[in-house]
Amino acid sequence: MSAGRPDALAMLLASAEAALRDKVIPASAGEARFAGLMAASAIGMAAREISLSRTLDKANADVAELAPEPSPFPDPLIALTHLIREGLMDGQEEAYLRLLRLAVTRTAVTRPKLLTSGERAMAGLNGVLP
Amino acid sequence: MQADAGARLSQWMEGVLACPARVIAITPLKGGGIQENWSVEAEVSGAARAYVLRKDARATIDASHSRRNEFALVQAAFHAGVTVPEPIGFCEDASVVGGPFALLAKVDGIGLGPKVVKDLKDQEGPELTARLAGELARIHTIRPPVQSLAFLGKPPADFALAEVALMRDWLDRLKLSRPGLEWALRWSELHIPKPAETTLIHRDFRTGNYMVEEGRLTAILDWEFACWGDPLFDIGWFMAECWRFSRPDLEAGGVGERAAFYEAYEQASGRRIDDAAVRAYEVLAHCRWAVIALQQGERHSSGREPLLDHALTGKIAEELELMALRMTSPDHWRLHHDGGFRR
Repeated sequence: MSAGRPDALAMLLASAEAALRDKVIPASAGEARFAGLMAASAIGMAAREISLSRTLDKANADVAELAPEPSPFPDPLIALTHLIREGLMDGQEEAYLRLLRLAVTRTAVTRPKLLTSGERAMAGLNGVLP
Repeated sequence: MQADAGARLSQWMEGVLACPARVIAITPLKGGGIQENWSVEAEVSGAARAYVLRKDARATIDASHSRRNEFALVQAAFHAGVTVPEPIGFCEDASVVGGPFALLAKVDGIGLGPKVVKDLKDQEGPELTARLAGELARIHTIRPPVQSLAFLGKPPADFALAEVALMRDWLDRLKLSRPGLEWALRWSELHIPKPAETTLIHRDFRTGNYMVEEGRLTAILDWEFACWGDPLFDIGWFMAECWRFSRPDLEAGGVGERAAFYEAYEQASGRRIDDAAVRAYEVLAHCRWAVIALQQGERHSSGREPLLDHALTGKIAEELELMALRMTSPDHWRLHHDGGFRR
């Protein structure tokens, strides 16, 4: 995939979201308006997920790396779940930071307005997130 | 609803109310696919009355149990003095309106959480906050055993631990690995104190599940999740940031101050609120709502019910996990070397 394609797709979706928000939603009422708002929200999330795909992949990989190797579980996240439930990660700073970074990055996709400037900085979102 | 349902419903109502009753109109209300809600206008002893008829869309045995149980919970709350829609009766006879149903008095007001918070005038907040605290204290006067609530089963030995186990089980059933939620659940397991007592808890007592008219409470709704548990769970659920909508600064459900809610609850109940325990339950509240949101999302992603609102509800889990993590940073863990956990 060339470097431009994900950006182009994200821009296409952002334009579709803008068309819904600027033209369709203001001219709608009731259930149609509500459906328009939901659709705009979903399209916005898809656009941000594409824009943030590298940051998301890195945050996911950092969390998966917390699982020990070798592990009896095929999926490192299942192994990690067991470690947490058994108390083997209790209060651990590094684990917490990686989990927080992933949650911040996922929220940057779904509801970026909720993030503090500190959280944007710690997840490397400044300059990536509009 | 069949054309002659009105006549049969009139007859049934006369039996329940022990007075003349005539149904004038039955009109559908908005509702989900599982449950049908109907507005019933009637003349009872010559006076105009309005009711809501709640019926399952498909009359399965399981579904009718759930409606009947919900009715029993509303009845128990009504008798304890909680502001609920007056429960009129439950009808098992499917021949009246085509399936078992509950009939309750119709209550006016708005229920949608964001609207309740947005429309509330400054001077109305403190009164509503105190009123809600009093209502919750009244719910918590209902203690096991109660014969009409036998379907709730035996209270759990430790409600908080049972709730954490349930959330893990739900995540396992979804086949989803969510280490962030697991972190917050583990924190909850260690930091929520062993419950001091067991009462009826509403389990979904929050802004959005009560009706308000001109700033005044008109009814506590949505009783289907009620169970025996730790009364502090309900307070934590009500306070949780995720239920404050556009007023995160108003910690009591987006409508009032935390201290004012505590004070009114303590006065009404005679209990002292353990603030640390309530705040620990707020972590669990975010986990619970996140898991429920993921379940909704799965209804979409599995293709069973590919509705956009299910998909978007599933996405709320991300911010809920973040909120739970914000509350459980390493400096919020009471580790062994600090003198032990709360448990």
